[in-house]
Amino acid sequence: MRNKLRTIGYPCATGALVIALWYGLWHRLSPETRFLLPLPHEVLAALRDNFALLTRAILNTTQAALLGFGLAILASVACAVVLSLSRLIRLSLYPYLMILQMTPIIIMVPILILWVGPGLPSVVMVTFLMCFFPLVVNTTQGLISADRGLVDLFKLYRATEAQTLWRLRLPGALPYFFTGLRIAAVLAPIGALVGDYTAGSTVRGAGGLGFQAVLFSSQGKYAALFATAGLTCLLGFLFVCTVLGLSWLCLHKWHSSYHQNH
Amino acid sequence: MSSNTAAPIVEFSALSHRYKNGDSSLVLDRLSLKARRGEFISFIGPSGCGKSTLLRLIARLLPVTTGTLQLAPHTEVGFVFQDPTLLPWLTVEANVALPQTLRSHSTKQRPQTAKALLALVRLTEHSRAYPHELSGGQKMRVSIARALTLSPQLLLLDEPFGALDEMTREHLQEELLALHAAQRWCGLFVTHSVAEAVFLSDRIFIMSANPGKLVHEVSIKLPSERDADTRLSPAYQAQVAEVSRLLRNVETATAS
Repeated sequence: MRNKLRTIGYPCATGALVIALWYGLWHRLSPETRFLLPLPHEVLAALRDNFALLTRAILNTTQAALLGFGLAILASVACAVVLSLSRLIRLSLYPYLMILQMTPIIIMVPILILWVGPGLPSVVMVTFLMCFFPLVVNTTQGLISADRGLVDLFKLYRATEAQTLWRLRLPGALPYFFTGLRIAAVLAPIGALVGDYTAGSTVRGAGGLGFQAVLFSSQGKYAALFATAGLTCLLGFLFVCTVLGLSWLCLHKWHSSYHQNH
Repeated sequence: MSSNTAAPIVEFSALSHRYKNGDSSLVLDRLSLKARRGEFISFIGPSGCGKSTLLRLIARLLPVTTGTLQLAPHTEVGFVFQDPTLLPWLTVEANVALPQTLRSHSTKQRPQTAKALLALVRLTEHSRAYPHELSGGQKMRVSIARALTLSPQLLLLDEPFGALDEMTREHLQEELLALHAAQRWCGLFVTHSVAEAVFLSDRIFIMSANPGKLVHEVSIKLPSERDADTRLSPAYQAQVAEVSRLLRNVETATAS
């Protein structure tokens, strides 16, 4: 009970301290520069005033982030299974995956717009590209890291390749997959935001938080801009919490990371 | 413990094995042996003499380089590895039933067999536990139960008690002998412990290293029913002394 109170109490106290510092800093700023740091209650008021606009924007961004994230999960698991089949395949494909990862996303955006058109498809592709690499690298590592003794055990009982994949390699790769998924969960909302920022479309209210941020910035609505930033953080937090919850559901009964005192 | 006239469960002749690395070094050199149903045979020798490789060859986990290796028709092989090698995401019961799962045995039959084997190794109350919740000795019991799931005629045991404390080790040796007496499989056991080999075996093969050869065969002349008191008997201690002396000679010869 005492530990639970601490778990909740400490972050709340830190939050209260940050807000107090925020107000304190605002008072120290000159009246001409105070627009740089809208006060928390002004940000909340901007959130209320732009509620419909921001709700639509966060829904659009969430939709793009979920689609990109989901596609990345499906494609990365399929790709990891193929990569895990042989060292030769890994040697042949890894350099190209590295090149894909190292290509700056900002360069990819015009190409993606050219290929799939602006708006949701491009935003989803940007999210996909950002999430794909950590997922595929971690999942492949997990699939090829099966314990040698267990592989021998499956050989001894003449398990088929499909049985070895389904009953040994895939469950054994879950902790690695979730490590990749946690990284991808942080990147998915960022990807959707960056995609929206660079390739988003406002046709029929399709703009997301990235586009809304550009709009508020150009209109000098800084409190609304801060509210948009807050919503982006919230979205990222929800993605990460969902993944942590899923990870707990799948691993807590057996994986050592849940049986140590941290 | 077995009749010498029965057909062998496993027979190998001039069996050799080379590693497929750069120098293609010879690990096992012309090994020959016949093992029959109900026999318990131990292999003992210096580190690197190829004891584990021999078991892996018999289990068809490694290819035979030269020589012949034959198992009796329809021989089911069980293997107890050095580590318990349990799937950490499966319960104890599901781990024991794994061989049946992989052979697609009926889902009705699996829990029944697993439960019966868990009762044999005194782990019934842990059937729903996960491996991380068990002690080292309990994990090894699960591993033994799993190896017996398909009622093997040949059980290969690769130094299964090496990582356990002395008390647990002795208990498990007694339990293993009880299982052997009840089920009469042929056991091939690799160990570093002379006392363990003498306690468990009908025959002991002493191996030399570089390359691995079977250099001495010792028949153990102890009553087939053995228990904790057997370890105190002069006959047992004399056999331990004899095997130790032979092993020391082999190690000295290998070192020189």
